[in-house]
Amino acid sequence: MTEDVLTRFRIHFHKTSELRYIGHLDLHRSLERALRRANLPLDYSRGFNPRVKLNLSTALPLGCSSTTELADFWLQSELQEEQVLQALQAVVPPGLLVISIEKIDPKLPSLQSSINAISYHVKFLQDVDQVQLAGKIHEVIVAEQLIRLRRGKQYDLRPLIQALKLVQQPPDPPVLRMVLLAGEGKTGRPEEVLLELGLDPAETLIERTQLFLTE
Amino acid sequence: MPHDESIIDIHALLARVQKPGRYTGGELNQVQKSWDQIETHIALAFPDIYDLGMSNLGLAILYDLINQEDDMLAERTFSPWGDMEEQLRTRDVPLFSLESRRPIHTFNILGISLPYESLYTNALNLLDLAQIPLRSEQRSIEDPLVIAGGHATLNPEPMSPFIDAFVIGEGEDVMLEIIRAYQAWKKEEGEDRQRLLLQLATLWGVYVPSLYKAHYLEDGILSHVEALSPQAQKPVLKRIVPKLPKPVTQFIVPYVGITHNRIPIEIMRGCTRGCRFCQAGMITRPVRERPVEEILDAIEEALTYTGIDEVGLLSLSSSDYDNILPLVEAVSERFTDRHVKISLPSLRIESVSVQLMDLLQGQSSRAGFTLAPEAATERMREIINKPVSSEQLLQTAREIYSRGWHTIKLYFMIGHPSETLEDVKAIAKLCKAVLAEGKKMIGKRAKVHAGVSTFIPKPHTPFQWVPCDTLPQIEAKQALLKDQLRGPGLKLNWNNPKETMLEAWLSRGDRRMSAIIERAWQLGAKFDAWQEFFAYELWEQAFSESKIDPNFYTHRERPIDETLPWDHIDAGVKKQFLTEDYLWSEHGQTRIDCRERCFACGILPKYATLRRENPGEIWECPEVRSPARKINEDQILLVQS
Repeated sequence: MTEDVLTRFRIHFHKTSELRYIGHLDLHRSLERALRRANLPLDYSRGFNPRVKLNLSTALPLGCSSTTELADFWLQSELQEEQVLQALQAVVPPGLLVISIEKIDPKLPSLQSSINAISYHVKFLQDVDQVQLAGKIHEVIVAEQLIRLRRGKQYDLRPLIQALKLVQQPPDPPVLRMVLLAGEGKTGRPEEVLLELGLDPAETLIERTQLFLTE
Repeated sequence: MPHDESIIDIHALLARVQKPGRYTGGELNQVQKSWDQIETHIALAFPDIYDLGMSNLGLAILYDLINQEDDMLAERTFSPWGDMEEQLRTRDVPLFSLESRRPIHTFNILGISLPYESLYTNALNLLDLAQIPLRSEQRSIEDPLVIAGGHATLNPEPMSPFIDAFVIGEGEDVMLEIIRAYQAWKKEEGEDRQRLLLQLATLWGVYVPSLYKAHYLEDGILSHVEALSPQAQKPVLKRIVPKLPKPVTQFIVPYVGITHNRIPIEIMRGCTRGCRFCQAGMITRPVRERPVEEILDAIEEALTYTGIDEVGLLSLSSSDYDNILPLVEAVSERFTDRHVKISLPSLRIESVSVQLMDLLQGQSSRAGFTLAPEAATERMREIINKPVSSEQLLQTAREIYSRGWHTIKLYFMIGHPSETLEDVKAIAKLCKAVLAEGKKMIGKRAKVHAGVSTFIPKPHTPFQWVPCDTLPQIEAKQALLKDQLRGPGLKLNWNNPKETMLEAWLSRGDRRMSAIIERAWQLGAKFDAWQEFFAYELWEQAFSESKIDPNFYTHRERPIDETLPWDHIDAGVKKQFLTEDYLWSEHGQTRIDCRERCFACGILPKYATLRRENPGEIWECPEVRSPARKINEDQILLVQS
């Protein structure tokens, strides 16, 4: 195969229901298998152990759903977007909804390095004391630093939080919204923010709602 | 999903466990039927975690088969990992199925897979988590019928109080017969469990342990097993399918990585080699092969259904498959360009094997090439009936190194009957000789990895009478190997001798062993197959609290005329044949591949009608041509060995 027939596609998909309990590597494998079932002319890496060329966006914490996942893959053909979309939609596993697909410039930087911030919406499975929570949110926002320990390493959570607020639109239950930085070595984790607010992540449902890409 | 109080809400549980993807179900190709519209609900359990259970072909076969019937459904359940078990127990949530998340105790039938003995405590734990009474006699009409099958159940006795009915042998046909019998019973009256059990006992291949009583002599040796009702067959003849059914292809595609991330396609069942230590080789006879075309079509279909990029062609001895070269050539031609990895385990020690692997692996990396000489001296290999000359092994090794593999994995066993320390030393010597060949060809890149397990005598084999090595014996032999199998390019793996002891107690145990299993479980034994959980001291305690001496089961040479706890289970191979083969082994007398010459192991007379109805290539046994007299199947069932 020559390089000039390589086409780079970017899909936008939702990760919902059972799939929320699947980690990043398992999602990668699930998507790779879907691409294989779709019988698309996939591009593989070279070498002794060729892998499908497939890149995912920033890892989603286990248990979180998402309406804003992206993935890039390469095809050795110039298939139309609509054809690829249909082929893929027919074979994706339950919980993975392919929303759209577009051909993108092969020279664009990798997905991972294009994302600089991510927003999350958090719903509560139990009633929360909103006044107390609002106070906690304020404390977090005015703090100069928030030193936390994760997997034995100390880090400052505060600079990773770009926005944090409790949104109440009756009759809907309150939703905690946050925008966290993403990037190599500086990716904010929503469950860390919840812990800092004194909330148990297991008593919440977290959904990733937007990826902010650098242009 | 409809709102139904019996459906378990899993989010609160899953948010608190490490690998929640094991418990969600909902994977591609899962079958979920409408619960209320289906007459009979069957839960299929593998008593270890999802990762292992989903790699088990037997479970996939039964799942597929049951779900093809309109009036039944099969759902899956597995042992929860420790963190999930804690969640279930602290919240008093019963074990549930993955598909509809209903409690296992609300199913009609629970089928437990028991392929190996170290799952026994997990099976008890699974029953307990499912809130089903452990013992068959404690179960009421509210509880599911609990059945079990798998290779370990060819000696069902150690687990007999916990299982209502065992499937002896192959499950494909008899599973549906059991469910049909259950349905008929339920329609008829469905109140008296005993009537159901009596009905099941009449099915070919079903053993209902409560219909038998074991009698012991004063010295503790088994006297005989008594059938307590006319329905109780004695012996219970192993069930087989006359012809292998079409392979499963629409496999469930796990969301999470599991133990074997591959499509398993069974190319052949049974083995004609007759290695005397090998239980699988004895209990899976007769040898039946699938046609090449059927295998190729199955691979094609399974790739389309699953998108999985690896295929395992499974059998006990791939090299013996009649058309192995045409099969491998066709597979290589059709699939290797499509980035599909094909594995072909259990190859014989000969250069053709290297050619086969060469064809399959194409340009991909060549991690390691596995050979299983099992013993290192020719004397020893004659005793176990795996006659390969050391020169043939070295020749094959040269071939392997010269074709691009750097590592050869050699599997051996210690503890074979009449083994001496010289035979053990020979393992180290042989590994070094293989490595020396490699170094001559590719220099320092050459490696030998030796995997040395310990022989455990198994029921229904020619070695079923022999004593197993004691802990000090095994430790001495392993110490010798650790001392001698050292140096650059050499690596040694061995089994924990205490795990060997457990398997040895359980595999040749009798009904009395059930008390030990139950007690060990009460003391906390579970996941015995996991090195990090196996707790020898719990088993020691269980034995010491009882009057049972573990050595009685493991280290005693059993006289040829002793009644063995599994003698009322007929695996097809005659006891007389096993006895003769055992005596032959003592003289180092070997048998060739029985494809070349039938040694009258007993399979043919027992399954004569089936063989006559399925002539030609379907079986590797000789044909039965002369229907001298009309024999019906019932009569065949009664043929005694």
